[in-house]
Amino acid sequence: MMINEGSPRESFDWQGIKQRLSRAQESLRSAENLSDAQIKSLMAERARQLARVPERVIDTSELIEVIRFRLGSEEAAIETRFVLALMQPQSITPIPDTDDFFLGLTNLRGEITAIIDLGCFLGLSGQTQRDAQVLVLGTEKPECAILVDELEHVTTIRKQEIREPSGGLGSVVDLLIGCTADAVMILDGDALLRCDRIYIDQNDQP
Amino acid sequence: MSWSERFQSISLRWQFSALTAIAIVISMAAMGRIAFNRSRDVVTDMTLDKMRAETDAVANQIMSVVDQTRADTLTIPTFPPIPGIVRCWENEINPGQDPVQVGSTTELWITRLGQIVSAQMAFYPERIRCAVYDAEGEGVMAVEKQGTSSVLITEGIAAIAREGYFLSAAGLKQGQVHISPMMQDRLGKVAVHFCTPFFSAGAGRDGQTLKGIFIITVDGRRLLESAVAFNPSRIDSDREFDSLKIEIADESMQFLYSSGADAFPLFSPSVFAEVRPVRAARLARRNTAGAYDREMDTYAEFVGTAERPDGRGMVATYRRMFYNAPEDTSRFWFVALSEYSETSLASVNELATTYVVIGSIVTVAALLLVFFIARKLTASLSDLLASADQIAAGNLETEIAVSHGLGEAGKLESSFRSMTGKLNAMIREASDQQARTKALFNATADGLVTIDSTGIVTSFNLAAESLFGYRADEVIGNNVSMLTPSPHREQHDDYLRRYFATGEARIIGHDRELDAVRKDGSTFAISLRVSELKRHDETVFIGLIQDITARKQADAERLKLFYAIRDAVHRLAVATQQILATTSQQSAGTQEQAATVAEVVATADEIAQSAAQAALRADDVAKSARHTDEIGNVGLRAIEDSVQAMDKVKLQVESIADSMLSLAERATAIGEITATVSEIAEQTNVLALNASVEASRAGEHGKGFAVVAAEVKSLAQESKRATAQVRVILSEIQQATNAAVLSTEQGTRTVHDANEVIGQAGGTIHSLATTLAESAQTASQISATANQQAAAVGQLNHGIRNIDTVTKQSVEAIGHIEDAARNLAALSDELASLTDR
Repeated sequence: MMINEGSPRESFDWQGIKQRLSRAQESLRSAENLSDAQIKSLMAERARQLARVPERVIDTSELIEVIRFRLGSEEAAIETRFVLALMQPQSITPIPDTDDFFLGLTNLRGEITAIIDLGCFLGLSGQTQRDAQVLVLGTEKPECAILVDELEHVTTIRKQEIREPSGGLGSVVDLLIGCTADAVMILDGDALLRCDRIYIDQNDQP
Repeated sequence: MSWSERFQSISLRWQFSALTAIAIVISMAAMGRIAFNRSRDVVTDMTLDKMRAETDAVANQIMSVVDQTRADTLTIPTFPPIPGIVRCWENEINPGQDPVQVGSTTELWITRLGQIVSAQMAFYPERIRCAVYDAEGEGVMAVEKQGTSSVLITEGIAAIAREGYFLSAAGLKQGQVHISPMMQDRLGKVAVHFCTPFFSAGAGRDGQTLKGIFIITVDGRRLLESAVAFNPSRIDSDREFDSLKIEIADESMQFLYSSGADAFPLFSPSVFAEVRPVRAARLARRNTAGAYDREMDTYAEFVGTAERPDGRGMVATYRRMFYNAPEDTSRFWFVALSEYSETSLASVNELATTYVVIGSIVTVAALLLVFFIARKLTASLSDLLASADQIAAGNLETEIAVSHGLGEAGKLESSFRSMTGKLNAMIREASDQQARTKALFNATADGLVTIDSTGIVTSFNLAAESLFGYRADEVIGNNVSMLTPSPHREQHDDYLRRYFATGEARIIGHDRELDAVRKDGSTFAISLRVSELKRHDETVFIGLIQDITARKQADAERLKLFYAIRDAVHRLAVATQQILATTSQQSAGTQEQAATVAEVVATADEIAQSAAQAALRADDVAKSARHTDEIGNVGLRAIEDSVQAMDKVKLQVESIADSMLSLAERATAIGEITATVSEIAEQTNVLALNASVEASRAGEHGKGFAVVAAEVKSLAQESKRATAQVRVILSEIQQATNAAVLSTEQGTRTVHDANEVIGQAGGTIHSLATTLAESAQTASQISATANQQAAAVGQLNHGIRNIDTVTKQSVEAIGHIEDAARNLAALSDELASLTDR
């Protein structure tokens, strides 16, 4: 009885279903194998992009290369010459009785390096994720590593565009070169590496 | 008797004549009056037109002469002689000599002027004198007409310094002329002077110095007479010369000329005003500027008798001439023509007289004609009148005289004749009818008596006389109650009164048997039939009376015989009734028996039919029970098929659920693979960033590598995005799969339910089939029993039918006996009814 009540007036469109299935199978097969024409057009587009002449030859002395990243809700950048590598720490070993921003130590390619929560260090709001990536800082050898959120890629910034930091930032001002128009803090790598507070001194121990 | 009634009573011939005379006189008088007035107007207009033409002719003639003379008066001083004379006078160096034309002297110029003037005067007979006077009025020269020749006079000419015309002319300018009024001098001559001044010939202001006057004198009487005589229309005039008066007068209304025998005195002022006052008044009328009214220059009218001093109507015209225009318009002459209307309209008056005479003759002739026709008409009417008077006096046989009247009178006579003929015939027929009726009345065998509404006998026929013993004259005039015995004798008048009061007829129209009284006082039986006859307001009752004494005796004897027969018949009838009653009872008994047998037969038939039907129905039931059993078996098989099909469905649905589950598991495997891909992409991203950092640190050498690193990074990010999309799609697939599994599970459950329902249906059908099989067997048994029963009932039915036939035969036999008894009873009844009548 229920079978008869099913759909005498609009029977299930088995033919349409079969067609749709075969179409899906076809598209799945064709997605893996690009046709020759498609490959050729993709390659040509890529070559065109690479061969593009820069719009303007920029005086490299006026430019600094920075790597942009996020600290909580703030965006910051640091010159690439102070960055050694970007890594994902395997494990962080906390060190008791240290400052809050001092997250712990880790092994980076054989070097024991301290990891610092820079947002906390700079007194910025927002919490940095624990499983975030770390930037290894240093010029010759790894000095320290900072925990960052969402690394952007490497960009160049003109020195003229960097504005002097205003006085409202307190002690942080010493660690900054300035600020860009889109509110990205440019950290001073030298000042940061020279800062005593990020180094653990045995003598400090009470 | 009033006047009109008296007129209407006189003879028609006089009435016709008088009315016709009045009509003719009135119409002819009116027509004559209109015709007379119209023709008088026409003739007056014609006369006036003619007279106006004559007036114009005379006036034009006078004015042409005046204009010619005036022109000459102006022209002559411009000829050489008069300027020459003036030059001679003005020559102070050598007086009397002409300084311009050497050798000419004053005398020579005068002679030349005389020659010119004389030559002109020969052509104009009305000119009698031409003269030149100097500025002091002393005559210089004059040429006078003496007889047919003219004479030049230079000496002894009378001075005219005191004459009015000289003074008037001296005041004029060059080119102007003074024409003196027409006056009669002591010698009876009438002269008109045409005077013009002439001046010195020198130029400048002194040039206008008056040097003299040149005068042409015209004989006025001759001028006027010749003008009148010149009138061309007078030649053809057939009128009396005296009847048309031609008169010429001037502004002082004195006649200058008057034609005719009774001419008015000339040159007496105001004479014209006295005899012609209407025209004088019009001529004297002046306009607002004080000059004469130029609209009154001509006139042509009929002057009525009331406006004339002598009381005679006149047709009159005039025309005014301003003879000294334009220098002086205060003086004028006018030509007036007059004719008394009785002469000018004589033809119209004659017409009137003729008309009156002819009218009288016509009237008299018409009257005579009318009188004779009317007499002819009324003569036949008079004859008819006499005949009618005779018929009225009772002389019906009067002959109607044949007078051949005219028109309606003739028709009246013929219709009167036919009327009297018809009336005579009718009267004769009526009297014949009356005589016949009387004979019939007396010849009737029955007595006939008529009475009026008060009961008085009006007629009594011979039969009634013999019945009652009275003579007719003894009864007629008396009350009919004398023929009736008491109590009808006293009450008969009451019967009549009651009938008239209520209209209820007790006797009228019916035969009544009554008693009547003879003259000798004996009574006898009568049959009375009264009928009513209503004529106008009078009611007459007619009584028809028969003596029925003999008839009554015969009736009594017959009655006696009849009673004897009736007794015998009654006895016969009683006996017959007894026989009939007995037979009827027997017949009723037999019939009841037959009816009962018939009822039994009918019942047996019904039982036989019912048994047959029961057998048939039992067969039907057995058939349908078998059919139902077959259907139940078919249903059972169908149910089993359904259960099997349902089981298959259930299996397939479960296999679908299995497939769905494996699909979901595969999708989960895809999710794991995409997680791996995402991980790889993340690591690639980190790698790319490191590469770019390295490139940056490498400086110029690492530039190209930096680009590659950036490209790798973007690829890694794209991979991440793609894997995220794949994950979303996978979760959607997961949900769809879950829903499909759920609905499949629902499907299996539904199939299970259906299976149960079908199983129940199968059980029900199976038990139904069993029951039906049983009932089919039972029905077959019933059918067999019913067939046996039907056969038994058929045998029963046959036996009862035999009984019925026998019963019917006995009923028929008893019916014959009963019919015979009934015939006998009817015979005796018929006899009884005959005797009882």
